[in-house]
Amino acid sequence: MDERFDDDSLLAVLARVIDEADPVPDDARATAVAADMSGLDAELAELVFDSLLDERGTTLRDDAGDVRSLTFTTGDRTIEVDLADGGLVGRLSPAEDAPVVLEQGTTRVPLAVDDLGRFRAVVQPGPLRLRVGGAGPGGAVATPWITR
Amino acid sequence: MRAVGAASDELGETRFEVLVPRALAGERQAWEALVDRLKRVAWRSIAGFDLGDEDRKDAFAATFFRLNERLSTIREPAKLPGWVATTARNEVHTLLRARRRLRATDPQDLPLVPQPAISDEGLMDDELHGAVRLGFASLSSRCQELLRLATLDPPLSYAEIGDLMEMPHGSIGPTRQRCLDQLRSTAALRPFIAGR
Repeated sequence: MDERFDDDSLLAVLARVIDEADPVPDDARATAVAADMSGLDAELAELVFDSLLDERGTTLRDDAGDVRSLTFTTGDRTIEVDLADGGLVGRLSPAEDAPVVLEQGTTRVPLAVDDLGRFRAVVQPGPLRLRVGGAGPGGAVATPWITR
Repeated sequence: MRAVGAASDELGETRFEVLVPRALAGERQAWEALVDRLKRVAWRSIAGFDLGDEDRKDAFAATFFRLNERLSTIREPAKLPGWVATTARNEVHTLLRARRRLRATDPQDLPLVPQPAISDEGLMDDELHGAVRLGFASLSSRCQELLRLATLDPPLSYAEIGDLMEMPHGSIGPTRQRCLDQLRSTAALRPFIAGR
């Protein structure tokens, strides 16, 4: 057989063909590179509950409602978030007057927090995360990125 | 920005074991080099799903957000390609479930299956490439998935591909062989081969 069609040659051509037919879009690469801009100067909160996941956190549930509830925690803070299409409401416990910032890609939006620790926001499509606190005694905390 | 691009290129072949600590130390070019080394692994791992373009980009971006936030916990940098592939797949499954839940009633919103772009602009440098592209597009989705994952640089191991495709590790080699044989016997490649 023509040596251009042996396994190794064919695999090498395939590698190029697949890249050319379905290249990584430039804007997607740029977003990935920009991920570093938001370098984490904050403690990463742990996801302890996600209504989209079952109890073991491995299998996606079929019976989740229209609102997705998530709970994140660090040693002394809990951040609860309810996500619906287009918006979120959340609550810090214990209630504190800490700055809360919604991050989407490289966009950051400061959110108002009431005296019960509650906040709300309009969200755009795409991944988001919350950053809570700053130079105060509790330090800064960030949730992992939430895919939605 | 020429200097940045050039510096990133110079890091192109640098091992993950070297790039990870440098990225953690805040060296932007090292992070950029990591993205460039791993972007195809992530992108191809999320090909062929019932996802629109924007959702696929979101899953891709989220994969690198997670990589960035978890970088300090990576113990075996050599396993990064496998980690990225798995993470990207998980993002897709989360997105698919969220989409189905939120929009299942609106067929307008059902995402299109991405098709390989067919262009007449001569992206391929010769007829062989064109024939392979057409042949690949006519393979089963399973063969396409396997060949996408088996032709990556840096490569995924058969074990990693087996985990992603939920296939026994030992069957990846034989299946890859079968898919290559099918590719050679597609309508696009058969006359091409027979005529030589």
